[in-house]
Amino acid sequence: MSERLKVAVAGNGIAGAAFVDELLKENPEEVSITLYGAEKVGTYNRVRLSEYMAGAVGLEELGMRPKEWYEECGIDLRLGVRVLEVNTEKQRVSGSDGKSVAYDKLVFATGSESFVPPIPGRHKEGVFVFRTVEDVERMLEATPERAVVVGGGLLGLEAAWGLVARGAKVTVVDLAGHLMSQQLDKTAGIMLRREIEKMEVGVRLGAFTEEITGGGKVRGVRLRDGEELAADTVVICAGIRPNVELAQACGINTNRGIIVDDHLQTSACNVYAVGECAEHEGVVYGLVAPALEQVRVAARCVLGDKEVASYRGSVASATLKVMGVDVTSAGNVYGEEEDSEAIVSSDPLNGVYRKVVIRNGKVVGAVLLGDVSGAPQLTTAVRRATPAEEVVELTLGSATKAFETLPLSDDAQICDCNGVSKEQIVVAITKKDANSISAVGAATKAGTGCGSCKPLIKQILEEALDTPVEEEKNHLCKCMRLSSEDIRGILRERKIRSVSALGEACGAGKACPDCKVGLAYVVSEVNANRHEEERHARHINDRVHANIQKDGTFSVVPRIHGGVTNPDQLRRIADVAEKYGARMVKITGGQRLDILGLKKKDLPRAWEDLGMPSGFAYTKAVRTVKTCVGTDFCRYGVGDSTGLGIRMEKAFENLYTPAKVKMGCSGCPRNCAEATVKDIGVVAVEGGWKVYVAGAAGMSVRAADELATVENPEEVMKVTSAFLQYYRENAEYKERTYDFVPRVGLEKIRSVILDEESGEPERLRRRLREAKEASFDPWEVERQQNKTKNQFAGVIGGE
Amino acid sequence: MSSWLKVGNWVKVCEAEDIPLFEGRRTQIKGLYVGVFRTEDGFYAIGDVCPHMGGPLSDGIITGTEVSCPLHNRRVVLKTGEMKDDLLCRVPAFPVEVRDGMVYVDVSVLEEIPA
Ligand code: SRM
Ligand SMILES: Cc1cc2nc3c(=O)[nH]c(=O)nc-3n(C[C@H](O)[C@H](O)[C@H](O)COP(=O)(O)OP(=O)(O)OC[C@H]3O[C@@H](n4cnc5c(N)ncnc54)[C@H](O)[C@@H]3O)c2cc1C
Ligand code: SF4
Ligand code: FES
Repeated sequence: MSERLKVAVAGNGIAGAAFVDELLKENPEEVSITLYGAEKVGTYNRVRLSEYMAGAVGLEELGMRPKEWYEECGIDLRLGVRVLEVNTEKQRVSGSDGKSVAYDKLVFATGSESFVPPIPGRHKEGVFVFRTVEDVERMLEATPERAVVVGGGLLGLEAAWGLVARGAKVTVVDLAGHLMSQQLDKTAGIMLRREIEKMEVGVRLGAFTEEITGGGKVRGVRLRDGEELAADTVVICAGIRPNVELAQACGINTNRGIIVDDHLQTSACNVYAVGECAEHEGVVYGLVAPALEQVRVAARCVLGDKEVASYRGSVASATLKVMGVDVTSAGNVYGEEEDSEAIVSSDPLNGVYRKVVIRNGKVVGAVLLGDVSGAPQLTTAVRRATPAEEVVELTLGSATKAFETLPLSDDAQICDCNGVSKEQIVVAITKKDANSISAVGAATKAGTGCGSCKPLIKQILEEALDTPVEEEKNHLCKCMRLSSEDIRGILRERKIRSVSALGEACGAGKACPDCKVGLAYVVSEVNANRHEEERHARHINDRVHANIQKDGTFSVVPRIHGGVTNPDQLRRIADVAEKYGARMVKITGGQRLDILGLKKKDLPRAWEDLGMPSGFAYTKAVRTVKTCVGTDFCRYGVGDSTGLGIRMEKAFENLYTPAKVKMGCSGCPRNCAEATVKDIGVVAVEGGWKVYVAGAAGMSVRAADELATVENPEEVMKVTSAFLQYYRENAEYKERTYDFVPRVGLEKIRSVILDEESGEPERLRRRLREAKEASFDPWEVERQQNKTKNQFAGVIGGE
Repeated sequence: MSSWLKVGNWVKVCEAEDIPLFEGRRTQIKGLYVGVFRTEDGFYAIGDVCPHMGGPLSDGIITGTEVSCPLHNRRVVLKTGEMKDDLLCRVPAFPVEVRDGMVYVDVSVLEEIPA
C-alpha cells in the first residue's frame, strides 16, 4: 500500500472535529491525521455551551470524546497545543509543543474568537466573553448575581439564559433597535423581547454601552443615555472575529476570514480552510450548518475528489430555542428592498409570528417565532428559491395544522445545527438500522445540536419504520428544560441533597412553582430518603400529612393493613371523629376509613388519639393493598391473599413513588380484590401466584399486564419489590404505572427485573431496602416534633 | 427613609420568626383572612381567600414572589394580588414592614374597599 496521506488540522472545534470524522468515514486506512486544538479540553459542542453554563449538562454530554477514541482511530491529537507557524513551501507546521510536523494537506479550522469592542473598563475583573468551556468556568467561579450582557444577538441571549439559570438577575443591552437583529426582523424581535421579559430579564435597546464602571472590579455599566445598571458581572457578546492571524502570517490571502474558493482551498497550495475562520464569496458564516457543508466538500477535495465536490455557499438558516422560545430564521429576513414583499401571519397574543419574504415571486427568506411548524419545508423553500404560491398555505395555515402532513422533500434540511437532510436520515434508518432518535443522532449528528428538530426526526422515523417511536424526554422543569434524567444526573454528580441546592446549581424550580413538588420527589428518591426535607417544596398535603378539602379542612385516612381492622381501631376512629367534629366518616374505595373535615390545628392530636400509622392517602406514595379473605375463610381460596397483602403493605408502606401506587392481592382467579386493575396486583392460582402490573380503574381503565408467574409468596415479594423500585427510579413524576409500563415496554421491564443472573433485580431490591430503612411514618414523627414553626397553625396573630 | 414613616393603618400581626422562608401563614385582621408570606424577596401580605373557589392561599407553594393555590394551582402574584391566569380577578395586597423582628401589615386599603 502506498504511503498514507498526511493531514494536519489546525483547530479542534466543531469544524475541525467534523472534518476528521469525515476523513475517517471515507477511508481510515488512507490517512494519518495530526489534530491541533488550542483549548485544553477535547472537542465539544459549542452550541450547547449555555446548557453547560446552566448546569443542565456535563462536559460528557457536550460530546467530548475519550482520549482512547483518538488512539483507536490512530489520530495524533495535540490538546492544548496551538499551531504557531506554517511553512507552506516545505509543507510543515509547528506548534506550541515545540514540535514540527510534515503535511501533505493542511486544514485551517481555527474558528473565531469573541470580538470585544473598545469599551472603557473592559479589562476589569468581572468582565467575560462567552465562547469556550474555559470562559464559562471562569464566569461561574465568579458566582454572578447581577449581570449585564452586552449584545442582544443569539449569543447574548444564550449567555443571559445560562446566567438566569444560575440564579443571576440579568439585563441585556444592545445597540440595535431589536433583539437578534441578524436573524429576526423588527416585529419578531419585539415579540421575542416580550417573551424574554416574562423571564424577568431586563432589556435595553438602542443602548450604547459607554463604560464599564467600578474600581478594579466591575460595579456596573453606564449607558450613553446616562442610565447606570448595577452589575457584578459583564458578559460581552458583541460578535465574532475570525482567527486569521496565523494564515495571514504565512502569506495566505485573508480578508475578514481566510479566503477560500469553491473547493475550500486557500491561496496556498494544499491548504484549506473550513468553518468560522473561512470566507467564501465575501461571506463568513457564524453557524454550524454551513461549516458542516463546507467540511463535507473539503474532505472530498483533500482526498482528491475535486471534480465532484464543490461548495456554492450556504443559506444562513437556523432553528433555535432562544430562552425557551422557538425561533427559525433563514435567508433574507428583512425584505426591505423595494421589490420585495412578505406573507405574514401574526398572533401577538400568543407570541406567534410567521413571515416569508418574496422577491420576483420567489421565496428568499423566512422568520418563524413561537410556532416553528413547517420550518424545514420553509427553509428548503428559501434554499431552492421556490415559487411563492407553494408556501402561502404553509405560512398562513399554521392554525389549521393541515400542513403537518405536507411531505418533506428528500433534500429538506431537518437538522439546521448540523446540516442534515431528510435523505441522510432515511439512509441511516434504512441502511444503518438507526431505529431511535438517539441512534439517528449517532449516525448522522441530526438532533445532537440544539435538539429542536427531534420531533421531525421522530416523524421521519415513524414514516420509515411504520411504527410509533418512543417519545423524546419531557421536561420535569419546563423553565430550565430539564428532564428528570437530567435532574437525577445533576443530583448524583454534585451530590445534592435538597431542592434549594438543586435550584442554586441549575435554576430548576426557581422560576415557577410547577415542578417543585416533582423535584422534591426526585431529590428524595436519588438520595434514598437521606435528603434534606424542605417543606416549602411540598404541597400542603405533604406539609401536614393530610388531604386538603375544598373548604380548607383536611381528611385523615389511617393505614389499615390489607383492609383488616379490629374493634379497638374502630373504636378509636369513632372517638377521634366525634372529638374533633368530623363532618363525615366514610368507608373508602381502598378498604379503609376516611375521617373527613378535621381542622389543620387538630391534626397532630387526632393522630395521637388514633395511634395508627398514616395511610398516605394525601400524596404520591404507596397507598393501599386491597385484599380478599383468601384461604382463611373462603371456600375457593387457593392462596393466603390476606396474609400476603398485609405483608406487601408492610414492606412497601411509607415509600413515596412518582405517582400513587395501589395494589391488590386476591386468593383465587375470581379476583375479589380486583388485583388486575391495580398498579401491582397478585392473584393466587393453583400451584403459585400470578403477578400483574400497570392495571388501572380510575380515569382510564386498563387491564393489568401479566408480569410473571411465581411459586410462592417469597418470590412474589422479590418480583414486586424489584418492579416497585424500577418504577420509582425510572418513571416521570406523575406518571402512573399504567402509562409507565406501556411507555418503557413490558418486555424491557421483564428483562431487567426478572433476570436474577444479571444481579440487577437484587440491586434494585437493595436500593428499595435502603430507601425503606430511611422512611418513616410522618404522623408518628410529627407528633413528636414539628418540622417548621407553627406548621399546623390555623390562624396566627392578627387583631 | 423607611416607608414605615408613611402614614397608614399598620397592624402588628406576628413575629417574623413565625413564618419560615418560602411559607405562608394565615392571620385575621378586622375579620378578614390575610395571608402573610415570606419569600427570598422579603415579606408579602395578600387577601388569603382564593378568588377561584376560596382556597387558603397561605397553604400554597411559593416560588419567587408567586404563590400557587393549594386547591387548583391558580397562581397569585404576591406583590400585587393579581391572578396570573385571570387578570380580572385579584385579592387585595397590603404593604408589609418588619420592625424589631415583628411583622406589620398596612391595612388602610381595606378602607377603600366598599363593604
Ligand atoms: C377517599 C376516596 C374515595 C372514597 O371515598 O372511597 C378517594 C378520594 C379521592 N381520590 Fe380517589 N379516592 C379513593 C379511591 C380511589 C380509587 C379506588 C381504589 O383505590 O381502589 C380509584 C381508582 C383506582 C386508581 O387509582 O386507578 C381512585 C382514583 C382516583 C383518581 C384517578 C387516578 C387515575 O390516574 O386514574 C384521582 C385523581 C388523581 O390521582 O389525579 C383520585 C383522587 C382522589 C382525591 C385524592 C382528589 C384530591 O386530590 O383531593 C380524593 C380525595 C378526597 C378528599 O377530599 O379526601 N382518585 N380513587 C378513596 C380513598 C382510597 C383510600 O383508602 O386510600
Ligand atoms: C454559546 C454559543 C452558542 C451558539 N449557538 C449556535 C446555534 O444554536 N446554532 C448554530 O448554528 N451556531 C451556534 N453557535 C456558533 C457555532 O458554535 C460556531 O459557528 C461553530 O462553533 C464554528 O465552528 P468552528 O469549528 O469553525 O470554530 P470553533 O468552534 O471556534 O473552533 C475553533 C477551534 O480552533 C482552536 N484554534 C484556534 N486557533 C488555533 C491554532 N492556531 N492552533 C490550534 N487550535 C486553534 C480554537 O481554540 C477552537 O477550539 C454558537 C456559538 C456559541 C459560542
Ligand atoms: S371520584 Fe372525584 S369527587 Fe369522588 S372522591 Fe374521587 S376525585 Fe373526589
Ligand atoms: S380555589 Fe384556588 S385555585 Fe381553585
